[in-house]
Amino acid sequence: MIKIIVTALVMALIGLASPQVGATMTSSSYLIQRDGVTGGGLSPGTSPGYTGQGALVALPTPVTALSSPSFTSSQASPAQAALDGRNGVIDPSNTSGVPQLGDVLIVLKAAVGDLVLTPSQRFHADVAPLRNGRPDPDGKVDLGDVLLILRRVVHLVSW
Amino acid sequence: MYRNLALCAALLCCLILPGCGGGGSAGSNAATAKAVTKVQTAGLLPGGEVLGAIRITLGLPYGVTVALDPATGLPAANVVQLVGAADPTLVFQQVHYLAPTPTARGSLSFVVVNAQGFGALEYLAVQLDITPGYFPAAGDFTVSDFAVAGISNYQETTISNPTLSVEIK
Repeated sequence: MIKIIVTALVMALIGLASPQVGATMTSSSYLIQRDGVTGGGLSPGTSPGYTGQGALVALPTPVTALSSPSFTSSQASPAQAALDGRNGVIDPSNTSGVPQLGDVLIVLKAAVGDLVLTPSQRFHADVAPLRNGRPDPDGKVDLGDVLLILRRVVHLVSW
Repeated sequence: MYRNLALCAALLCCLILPGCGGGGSAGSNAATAKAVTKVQTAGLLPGGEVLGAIRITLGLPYGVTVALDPATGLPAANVVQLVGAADPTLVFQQVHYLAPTPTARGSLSFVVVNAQGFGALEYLAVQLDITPGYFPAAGDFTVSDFAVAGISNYQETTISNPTLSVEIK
């Protein structure tokens, strides 16, 4: 019980000391990098940052109190974004995590201007081209994305 | 009596004959004509890359329209066809039609995607209707926003000098 209370207090302190963590994020893709952070087994400098989508940011575990917590965020480059889980799933009713026919039809309609994708849909639809078998998004949703998502749906390609 | 009948016939001819004539203008031709536009898919990408997706916008002359599905008001399913597809179940398309207005010509935009890639002998056929009384010429059709993507590189490539064949029937 005491352990639970102490853990809760530590988490609350982290929250109070880290006002930027809860800042409003307006882009769908951010690269989170440490900025002079010490504690928690981290040291400031050149270690890789953490990528996240929207407000979902993966922090190192275990999370312990940081002496000077501070984070800066910047938009991820296309190459960085390739690693952040965009999957070609743009149909809100598709919860499988892999693209299905509905996703193809949505991106097909967008390709002729019949509908406008939301920022989140654009993010997940931008999967082409492939580099070494992995999505290497080029920052736009075009014919390449339509074709790649369709070919994944019919199991002619995977990533 | 006969003189009056002959006069009436001559008057009728004068009213009808000026309606027949030149290309692109309204007239009195009662036969419904068709225009078939063909787009070849082979050889559009360099290096033997197989084409998997194509997007085109056709500018339509006045008097040229597309058949609409009465249930949806959208272009009918047979307006854009991929002829010769090895497996039609792997071909998907989306067609967007802008009807003409008094100040702007109509246009037809479409994307056709073939998951297996387009075969060498496959081509796109676009069925268009010509309103009676209009006589468009092949040169009245325009092509814009012509882009393709290959099934290996998945990169959209713009075709700058598209060739299009138009057959008026």
